[in-house]
Amino acid sequence: MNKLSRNFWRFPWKLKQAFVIALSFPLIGLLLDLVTSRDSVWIPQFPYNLITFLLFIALIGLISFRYKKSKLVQFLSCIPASISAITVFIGVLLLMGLIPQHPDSTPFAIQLRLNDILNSGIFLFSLIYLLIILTFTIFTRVYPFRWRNLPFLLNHVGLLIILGGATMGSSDLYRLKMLCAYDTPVWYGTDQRGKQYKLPFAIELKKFHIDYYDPELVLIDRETQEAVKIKVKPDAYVKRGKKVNFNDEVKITIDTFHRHAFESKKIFLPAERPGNTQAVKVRVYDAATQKTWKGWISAGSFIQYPHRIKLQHYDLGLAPPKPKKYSSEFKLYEPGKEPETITLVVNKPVRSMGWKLYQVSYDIRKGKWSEYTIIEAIKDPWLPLVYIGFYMLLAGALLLIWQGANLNRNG
Amino acid sequence: MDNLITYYIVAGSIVLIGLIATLLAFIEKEKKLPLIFLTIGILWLGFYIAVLWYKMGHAPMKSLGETRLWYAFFLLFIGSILYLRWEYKWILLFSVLMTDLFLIFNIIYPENFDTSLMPALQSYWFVPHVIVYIFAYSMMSIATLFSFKGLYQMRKKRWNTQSLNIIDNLVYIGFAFLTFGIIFGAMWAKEAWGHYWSFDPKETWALITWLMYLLYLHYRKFKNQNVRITLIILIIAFLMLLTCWFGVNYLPAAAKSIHVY
Ligand code: HEM
Repeated sequence: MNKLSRNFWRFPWKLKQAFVIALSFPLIGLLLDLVTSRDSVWIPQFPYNLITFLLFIALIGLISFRYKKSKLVQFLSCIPASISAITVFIGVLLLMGLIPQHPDSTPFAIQLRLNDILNSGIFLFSLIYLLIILTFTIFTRVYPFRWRNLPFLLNHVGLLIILGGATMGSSDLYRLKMLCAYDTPVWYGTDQRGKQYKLPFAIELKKFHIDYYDPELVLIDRETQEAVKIKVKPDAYVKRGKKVNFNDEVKITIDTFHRHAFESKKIFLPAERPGNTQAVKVRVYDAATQKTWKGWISAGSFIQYPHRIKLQHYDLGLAPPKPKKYSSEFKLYEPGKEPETITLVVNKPVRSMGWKLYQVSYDIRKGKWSEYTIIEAIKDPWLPLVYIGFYMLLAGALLLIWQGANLNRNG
Repeated sequence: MDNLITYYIVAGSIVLIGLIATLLAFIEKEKKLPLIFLTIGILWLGFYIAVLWYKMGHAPMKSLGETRLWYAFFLLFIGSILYLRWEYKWILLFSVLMTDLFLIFNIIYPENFDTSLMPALQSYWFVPHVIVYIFAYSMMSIATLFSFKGLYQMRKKRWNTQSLNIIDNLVYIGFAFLTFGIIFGAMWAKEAWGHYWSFDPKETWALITWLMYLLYLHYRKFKNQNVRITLIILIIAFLMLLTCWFGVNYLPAAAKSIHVY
């Protein structure tokens, strides 16, 4: 070591030294990624993840009390260290936010895991540095306890719990997709990597239901087959008797509207059979030709072609119906219990035996005649801990508003 | 929305009450009179929303027009609290103007009461999530204007450290609201998508934005801080905020974002 660098590393360390140390963490992670090969970051499962987390905190607590006066411990809980840790972590997140996180990428990006930052050494090591600094900071303020420090503790402990809980808990988190066909009990789920797991309960699809919004008129560009962009888009939702005006170029009057219809010889008749479609009878005035057309339009379904009216510049059609609400009715079987009927709706998960069931999707092509629905079963035993962290941060934020930047002055 | 006349009366009176309260805040020495008016305004709008809720049998949160009522209500409420605690007249004025804007918007476009929201947005989280972000974004925009002004003043050697205190106050409030926003978002994601955080591009950028302001808070505690860098951090933070808000949809990394707004 030459003289210059020895001087550089003489205590007290400031912002420069802090940044050198902070940057060395992701660099070590990067090097490890280059020399090792693995699928993803491996985190031990319960109870070893909990033990690791507690040991991490206990170790830092011990060091920070035993060597309180040491220059190194003082550095690890000082503002320059936290500035460097936050900045470097932001840098890593910027990589994630700018580079598409996608399995097929350039070989260079794949080698450095730049297309999978979340599982990269860069991310892991910069997170570890952030957690080390955060934990040291907390221990310098935790004892002796003062009410004045409450906002500080809520914010910092809250964040530590969230980051620690989310990271260590990720190995105990299960998100399993269940593809459920009618009248077939399903008691297993598949994770993102395609691995199957047995579940302690079973569900059997009994009914699937979708409500649609009323359809919307669209002008379609014949070449691109996409909706024409219109500056002042009129309210084009279909209602009987309504008049819709596209820029004075195309004016439409809606004469008839069937929610469920079938075509027969260019005319749509109401019918509730599978494969029916929304259909609208319109009168269209096309300014380009100064002519008025009459006819039916429909968005089609999995067995009917869409119907459009050809105008001079565009086609007039109906946009595919947008689902307003969809839900599945299931029979839920739990061991030792009578089967129960449950309904799964978007935004309203249902609990069963430590799992939460979410309505995710269905066969989009067949829409309301979908023969299956997709359910996600999720188990996250660390969730309560993370939520405690959320509530601490919320309370800390309230106190930030109340005490404001005054914190800054007497800090 | 069956009774538009009632709405005109309610909205009109609240617009008036808000403006009177703000005017009083600027001319009166005591906070009492403006606060009485503000309380009346908040209770009156709250009562109207409650009646609407009771009559419709479900929370009035299913159409654009209805969500605007909640924006108006909470903006008025937040502005009043900040006035009560900090006597921020300008923030009060700003909140009242936003409140009035939302209320008047519904008068001009009454069809908004019928225009429905898509399924994922029909959630109790929608209003609080959006409202706290609107508020945080506004605070941060004002703070950014101040930091540009500060940089200009430093060049002209007319810098006054007092300005930094105003910026601090704005950023502390704004940061608290960003924190609400990101956590409400996480809790909503848990309900809607099954997990509270998936590093969706919008989430990544929201986290970057939040951390940039966190950096500001901590850099302000740094003894040897350089004021110019302080101000530049704020400006970069706001650029991140804008990226999160509008830019994400144009980034190649976000082609597959599940956020629709
Ligand atoms: C939710 C996130 C955070 C919030 C809201 C927050 C807020 C604050 C506030 C308000 C202070 C001043 C406290 C006072 O003077 O009483 C502070 C100080 C500090 N924070 Fe944070 N912080 C957060 C995260 C972090 C992180 C991630 C680190 C480190 C990596 C960190 C390290 C520090 C340090 C070292 C201090 C100085 C403590 C001292 O002056 O003794 N903080 N923080």
